Amino acid sequence: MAPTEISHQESLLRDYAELAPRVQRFLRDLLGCAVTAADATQETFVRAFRKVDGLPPGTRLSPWVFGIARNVSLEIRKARGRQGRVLTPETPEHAERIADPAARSPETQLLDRESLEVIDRALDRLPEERRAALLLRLDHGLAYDEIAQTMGWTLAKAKVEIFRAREVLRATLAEYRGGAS
Amino acid sequence: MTIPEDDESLERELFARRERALVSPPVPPLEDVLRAVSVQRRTVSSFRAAPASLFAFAAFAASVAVIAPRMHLFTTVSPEEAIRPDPVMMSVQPVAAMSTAEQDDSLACSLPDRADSLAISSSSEDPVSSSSSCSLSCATESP
Repeated sequence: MAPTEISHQESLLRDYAELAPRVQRFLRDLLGCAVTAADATQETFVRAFRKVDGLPPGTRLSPWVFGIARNVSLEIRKARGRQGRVLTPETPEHAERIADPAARSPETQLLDRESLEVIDRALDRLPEERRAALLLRLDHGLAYDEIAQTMGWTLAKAKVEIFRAREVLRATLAEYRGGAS
Repeated sequence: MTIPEDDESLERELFARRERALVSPPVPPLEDVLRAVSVQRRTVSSFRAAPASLFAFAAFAASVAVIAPRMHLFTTVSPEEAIRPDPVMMSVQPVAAMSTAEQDDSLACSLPDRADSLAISSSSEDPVSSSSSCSLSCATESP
């Protein structure tokens, strides 16, 4: 390793402040519960810090961490299923989810709330795998090959799944457009 | 709501707005995460460093638990029980004869009352080749 090159562990420590909120939002979208998402975020990064130094050089950290996060979310859903409990998704009206409106203009607040409603409505219509892939693409900006790696899919499957998910999103938008006009 | 024509830009804009609308709850402090990592590492290393004799004892106990019932180490059998025929064997009813698949002409199974042996025999007559037969016998030892 070159003297100037930093280790994966150092990279993860450096990126934690930027990456952790994104991972937590991703987990909240998958699990539908902010409290469970916070616990899952901690578990994700505990696993990441334990394993990060075993990664091959040049591995991009964020897709790898999102992959761990998804596995954690699947384990939580499975455990909840075994215990007979179902995660109840929060509604958009959930007061704690909406950011402080005082910081934004009324028009921006309205647009932001509408976006929240439309996207949540679309996400609710998607199966878990497709929802995760869509979020990774549009909310977290991962490339198709990174999504394929995260989800354990081929590149072709990743493209197809995201295409199908975007169709649902567009249909939801069209409904919204029809309702808004 | 202004809807941009281009779907890709619309989707990205929607997600960006949604992110703004959402509260960003505090993430677990990095110190808590690192503390949890170090606690897990200590737990794993102390488990690995456990005395070998502890594992040897656990393996021995597991072996006893598995083998002992099969060996009847901790059970006593009365002489009457020892000579009693196996209930599984007794449940087999004598069958005089029954027909089988096309190739076989007959299959006979016999189990004399209270006998310790089971014999199955079959024979087939092939018009092209010579006839063939097979048999299976099973016997248990009386004490």
